[in-house]
Amino acid sequence: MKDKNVLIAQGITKTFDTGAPTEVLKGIDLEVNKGEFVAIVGESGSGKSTLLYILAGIDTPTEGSVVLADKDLATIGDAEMASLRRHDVAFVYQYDNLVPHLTAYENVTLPLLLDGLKEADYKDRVIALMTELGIGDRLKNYPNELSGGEQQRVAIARALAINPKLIFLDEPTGSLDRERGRQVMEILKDVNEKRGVALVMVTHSSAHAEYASRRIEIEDGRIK
Amino acid sequence: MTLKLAIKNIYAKPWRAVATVFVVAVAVALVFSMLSFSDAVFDYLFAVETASAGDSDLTLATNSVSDRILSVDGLEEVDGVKDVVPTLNMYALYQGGYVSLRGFDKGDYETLSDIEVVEGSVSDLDLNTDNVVISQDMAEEYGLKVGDGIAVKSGTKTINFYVVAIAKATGYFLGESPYLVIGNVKGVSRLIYGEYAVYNEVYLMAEDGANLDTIINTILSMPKYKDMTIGESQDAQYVTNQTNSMSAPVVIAGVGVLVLALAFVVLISLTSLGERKKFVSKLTVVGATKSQIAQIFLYESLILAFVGAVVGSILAGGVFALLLKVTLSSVVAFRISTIKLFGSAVIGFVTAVASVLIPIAISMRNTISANENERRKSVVWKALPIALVLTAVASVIVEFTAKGGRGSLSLVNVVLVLVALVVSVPFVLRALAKLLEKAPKATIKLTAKSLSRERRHTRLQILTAGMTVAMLLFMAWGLTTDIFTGYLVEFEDKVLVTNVPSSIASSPNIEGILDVEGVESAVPMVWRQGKMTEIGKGKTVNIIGSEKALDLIDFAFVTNETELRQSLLIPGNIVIDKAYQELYGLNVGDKVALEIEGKTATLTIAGITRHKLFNGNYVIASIGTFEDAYGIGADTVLVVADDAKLMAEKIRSQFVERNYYAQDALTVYQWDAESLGNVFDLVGTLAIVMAVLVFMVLVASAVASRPNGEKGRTAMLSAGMAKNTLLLAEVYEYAITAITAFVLSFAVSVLMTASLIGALRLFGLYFEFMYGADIVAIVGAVLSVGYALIPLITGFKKKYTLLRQK
Repeated sequence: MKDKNVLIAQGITKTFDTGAPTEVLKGIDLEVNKGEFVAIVGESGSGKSTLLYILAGIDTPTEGSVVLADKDLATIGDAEMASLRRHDVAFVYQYDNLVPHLTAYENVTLPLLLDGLKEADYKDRVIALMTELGIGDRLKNYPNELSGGEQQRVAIARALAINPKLIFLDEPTGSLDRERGRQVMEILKDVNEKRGVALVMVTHSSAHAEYASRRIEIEDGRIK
Repeated sequence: MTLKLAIKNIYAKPWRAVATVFVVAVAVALVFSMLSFSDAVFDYLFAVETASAGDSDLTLATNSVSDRILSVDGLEEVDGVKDVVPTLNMYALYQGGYVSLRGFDKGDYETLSDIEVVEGSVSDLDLNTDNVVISQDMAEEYGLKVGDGIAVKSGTKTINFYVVAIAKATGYFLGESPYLVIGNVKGVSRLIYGEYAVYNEVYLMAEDGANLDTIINTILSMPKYKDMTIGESQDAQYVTNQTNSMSAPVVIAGVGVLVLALAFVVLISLTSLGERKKFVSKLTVVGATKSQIAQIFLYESLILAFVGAVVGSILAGGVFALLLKVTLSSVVAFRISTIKLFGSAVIGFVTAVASVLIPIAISMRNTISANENERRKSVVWKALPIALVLTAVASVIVEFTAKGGRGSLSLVNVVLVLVALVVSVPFVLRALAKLLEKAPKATIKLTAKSLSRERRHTRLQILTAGMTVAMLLFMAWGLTTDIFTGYLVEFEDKVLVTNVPSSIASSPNIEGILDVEGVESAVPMVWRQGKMTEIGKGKTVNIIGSEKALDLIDFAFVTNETELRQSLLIPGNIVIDKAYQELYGLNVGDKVALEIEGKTATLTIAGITRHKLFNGNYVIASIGTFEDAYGIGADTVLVVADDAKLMAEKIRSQFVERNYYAQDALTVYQWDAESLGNVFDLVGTLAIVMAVLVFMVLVASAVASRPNGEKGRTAMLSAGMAKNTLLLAEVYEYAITAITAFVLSFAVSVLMTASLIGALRLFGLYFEFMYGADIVAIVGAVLSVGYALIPLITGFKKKYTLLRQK
């Protein structure tokens, strides 16, 4: 892997067997540089979310390879994949990111807790982070007590809590109204620019794709 | 860290945790009760059966009720005999009812058994031969206290005794029927001869390690005792058989409830499978390793199972005491075995952990992506129900066709068929829903589409399993109650007259009994218990010693009736019940060893009969056979009369001088009848508890899982569906589910009943196939209707609102 890359995907294909084989992705090659903000756009059913899941190691490709933060996903085991998620990459879904019976603070610190860190080592940093994201007063609230925008900010805070190299985002504003969506996009832009965290975001919104430094359009399983 | 998350998980779903703990606790308490029940019943029955003989090893008795023993010379000198306790036992009348009088030599009162007094002193018996001890029950019944006099009558003699102590219902007094009065032998003898000590039973205590057979042979070789009967005082095998009969329904019903309880643990976990899968996914995406996730769930199940096991252990003693109180209807002293309690807790704990982990393992099986977008099941997973059904069918075929297939395999099949049913019922529902998709009515069509697309039908599985077990329990209750009623009807017109001379058999009018007004028939017979020594570890049986028994009781003839009646008259021949043929392979012409009162004779099977009530509990022999083989003459007259109680009183008063002991048969077997009735009622209670529990679990599960379908309902309402139509659609959904469960449970209950009856062979019990379709249908219908009405009962309609975007 070149030093500048945080993600390299080569020859990614994905075929689903739903009665008859359906090839959703047809040989995708993609590189993402450190600190880059990439937006993946495309029509519904174009395969953009499938690609994102494969790039993030949540799904596996039928063919092709993904090297993420210097790790070839095809060769690493569960434990190494888990370590990668605790240290290098994070994922933010469109909604329903949070564990319902943990508070906002507990959700944010979950990966740190799983990493065996002592609370004293991260508590102040996490509270500062949450305050920076405008949810400092919601530490003890449970997800069902938060608005959709607040929930997404908690999910982003959780992603940032591990100081990742790369965050994958699947329609992060999809469940929010325009204003809240804009606020989240501003936060993401900040994260990318100030913290230098690479972002790979799937979105159907052209306006939100404008926040990215690079735009990739998927059409019929291929990069257009 | 993982422990903290596990505790959070438990707190997040308090009702799920409470339900799991409750079910595990019930399971532990039931396992303990099942493990301990037989032993407790055995101890109790053994104590009752040996109440008279106490700690003695051998009982020597006169061969005729009218014979007396004047002295016990020579017995103490027999090698191996440690102690000799002669007693006089006789029935007498007190205030119109029978009492059992028992006279001991001075100082011998507590040699066989301790007398625990609640008032007075046993040592006062030695002060005067008129002094007696009575039981607490008798004192309460007649309002007696220490110092009161009681006038006891036998024949024409009446003697006044004085109560010097009142005893607890332990030792000699345990299970007394009729009331027992213990006094000095000289005092009691006055009812017969005057103030000479006479005896009719001698209890012998042997030295440790002494050979009882040698002692018996030595005593029978002494001229003075050669015509008496002598046998072991304690017949453990008889008590074992009685225990098995009483324990079988409780153990089987308990096992059924236990299996269901554990199935509930699995199903309770399954109801939150979707939520767990999401949880696994969320943890994985933030970097949790598989072992960390497994640890969280393992801790969660360990905590719930541990709390359940502890609560169950605390409840176990109470549940067990209640079980004994209900089944034995008597104050039963029992010890809680620490080992059994610990074993039960461990069984409950381990099984509960395993049960909780099964669905968790399922939720961890797929990749994160699969968890998020529920992927189609694998081929293996799809094939599992088919494999289970085929295995169950094959196993049932083997059970019913292979020789010796019934018994252990039957028990396995009961569980196997239930599991196969539960696993396969969702497929049947989906198939039915597919058919209903073609219905013209839109509501049904939509409901059917929803059902056929739904991947999991946990509530249907709970309903099917619960309904099937409830059907079986209610049917068992109904059928056993029917049998019990038949038992009461069979005996309600019968009087047993004992204390009669053996010459009564040759008397044309049965010494006058036949002439008593109202007597429809009277048959002299021998009514004893014996042991088929080579069958089923020494099978204990009731021996009906009269060829005329065939006319008195409604037997069905398996072998030709005419030939059977003729053969039975030949000395040395007996008739057996069909159960012995089924259980032990006995057939006409076979020879069996039958031991009665220490004497064994080899007899030939002359025929086979069948009786619904006395299944496997009787052997019929002629009086001639008894006299030839055992030297025992008629000792009982079975009288048939319209009003048995009245007839018993009439015989007592008309034959007061002969001191016949006449009791209606239902009073004689009152304890047995009450105990059996209580066992059956217990099965009924379990059935009701089971049905209510199933319904409560279903309602709770239906309410708890409402949020899952909220999007679908919102979509329907958004598309313009009226709230009432949506409610109707939900009622249809519940009704189709209920009908599927009902039809399958009904069909499978037939098979499970047959296997359950087969499983009773493990307890030495044989029954013909019985099935109560009406009870099964009613139970199924009630549960089905109740289930179909859940959307109405729990107010689904109130929650019909369009989702508000936050």
